[in-house]
Amino acid sequence: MLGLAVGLLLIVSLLIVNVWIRTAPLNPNAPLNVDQSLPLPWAGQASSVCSLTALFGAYFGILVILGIPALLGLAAGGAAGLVYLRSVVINSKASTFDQFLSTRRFALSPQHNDVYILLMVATQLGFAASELSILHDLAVHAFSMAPKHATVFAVATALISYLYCLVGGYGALFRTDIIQFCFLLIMCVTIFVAGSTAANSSHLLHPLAVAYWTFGDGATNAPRTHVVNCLFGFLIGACYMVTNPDTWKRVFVSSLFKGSGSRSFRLLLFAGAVPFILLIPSALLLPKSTLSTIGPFDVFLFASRSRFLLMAVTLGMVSTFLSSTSGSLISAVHLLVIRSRSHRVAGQREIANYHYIFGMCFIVIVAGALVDIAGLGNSYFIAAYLLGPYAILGGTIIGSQGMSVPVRTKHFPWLILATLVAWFVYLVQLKDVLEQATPELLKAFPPGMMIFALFFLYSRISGWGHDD
Amino acid sequence: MIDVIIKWADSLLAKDAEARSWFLSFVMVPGAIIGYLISGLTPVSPFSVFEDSISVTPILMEVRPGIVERRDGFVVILDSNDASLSLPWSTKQNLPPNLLMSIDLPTYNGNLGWLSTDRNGLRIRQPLLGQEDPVVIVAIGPRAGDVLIPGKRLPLKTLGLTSRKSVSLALWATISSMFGIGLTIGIGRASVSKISENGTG
Repeated sequence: MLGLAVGLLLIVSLLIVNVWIRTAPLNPNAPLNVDQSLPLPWAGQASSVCSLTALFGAYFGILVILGIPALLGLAAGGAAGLVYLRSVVINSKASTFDQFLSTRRFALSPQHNDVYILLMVATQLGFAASELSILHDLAVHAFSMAPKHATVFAVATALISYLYCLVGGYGALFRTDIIQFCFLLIMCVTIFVAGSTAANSSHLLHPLAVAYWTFGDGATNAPRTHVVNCLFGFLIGACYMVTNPDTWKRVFVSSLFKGSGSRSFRLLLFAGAVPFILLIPSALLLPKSTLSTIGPFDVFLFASRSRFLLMAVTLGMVSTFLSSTSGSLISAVHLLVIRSRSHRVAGQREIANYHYIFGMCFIVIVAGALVDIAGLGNSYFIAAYLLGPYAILGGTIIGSQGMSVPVRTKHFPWLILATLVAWFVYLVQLKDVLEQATPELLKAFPPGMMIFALFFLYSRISGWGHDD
Repeated sequence: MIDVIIKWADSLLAKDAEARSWFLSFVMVPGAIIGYLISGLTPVSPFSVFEDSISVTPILMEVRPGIVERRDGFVVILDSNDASLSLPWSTKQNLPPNLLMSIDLPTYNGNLGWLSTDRNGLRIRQPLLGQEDPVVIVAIGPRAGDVLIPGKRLPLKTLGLTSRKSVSLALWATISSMFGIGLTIGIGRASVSKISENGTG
């Protein structure tokens, strides 16, 4: 029954796209230049934020280990990121999202700009691979699947998201997001009901290690520690929003095309907060554990209590996966399609490049995830590594005022390369980080924020005297 | 669908870049991934949704009134097929172990040369005569070693029982993705061609 329900969810998503694409096929000259016919951009924002990598991985760990102030910081940072993006979108004066993307400049030099675009593409593809790898592990540990079946399940589910995005582009993404949002809400309500009866509030009232980021000073419950956690959470939340091109698209559509005034944007803000509300009852379902025994999938163990719970959580998780994976995939493809325009053969329509790039990007995602599944014991390692590129991109995007005041120095690509190598070296020396998902990974956030600050200052100083 | 494929083949032969890119993204990429999933070609573990025709799971304990004790043994579940196999005991036994089987006496007598056991192991020549349904064999005493089939050794750890939920989720996801490939091959090329012919876009 569970397999059938998941199959139906996947097939219905495909059929919706199938019906819609017959009335609005892709424009072969600009397949991703679609803004006006996209429904409910805020619905997808909720399911996009609700990723296995961020929300049910890092953010959940932050809530359980550092407490509610850090989570509030994350939520506030996410909202601030959306507000910042809205101001960037409005100031860009772009009439389409495609134009908005193609006029963004990280660096003055075209080659340096390409380095940034490729880093952003790699980050999106890495994020999608991380989602796939985590879905595999989630299926094994929380849904008791055999590893070989979990691999088939995860890759086949990813293939569905590839197919509907390929054939329908943004239109397919936004339409399927609405269904996925519904399943997310069902999971939300189910977890809330189950969480309210579980009556295990110990993890909310007594986080496991409040001073984890401040490296302990004895007074773990000191207000100063909570303020620092909240501040770090704010920066992480804002950085994640600002560096996500899928979020740019939703902010663009809701700011310039949907609804009257700022109503659509307010809905987007609200929808972005829904996933954080979901996390609190989830923490109530966590069995009692310590910093050394806690695991990333512990919260899903409750799902086996009843068939209904299991179905609601499985469908919610699959929806979450589909939404975040397809958003990252299509964002990466859009960035590459724009880059490929300068190499287009005369007379050839863009749809050919679009198809090539889509196929190649998906192969990279699946290959990356399979290497991770086969070679690493920790499915969260890719996600932890991505924290570095996210910090670089976040610092540069905000430092360059939404990529409108490009960086002018020559050494930027080398600084990026050195930072990425140093970040890798730093991560692998953390205890057990390659073997298992460990709370130790949360220690990487403060150094990540230092990278953010470094690139923010660097790009800001570089742009001084050249502001619009 | 056939019209679409013929049209695509014409375009491909004419070196049409759009037809090639369509073929790559709609046929080759999904086809390669599905093929990889069901082929079992990987060195790490067979990523196959199709179960092997034999399952072997160990027996670890025995419960009798008032007594709970550790017990060696294993259960073999054989789907009827034409693959003969040998299942050696992990250590040589002094006497052939006791076997419990889910076949009746006449069927066993009719398969004396096909189904045999001794101090070294269990040998089965399939298909068993007169037996269509899966056969369950319970061996009390020895532990099982890796299963030997013609030209191949199957590690015991890959032959354990898996839950129906696990198979069902993997199977339905695969069925959905195959359905999706068929659906998108049908509409993907047609939708772009439609615009091309109408000259819109």
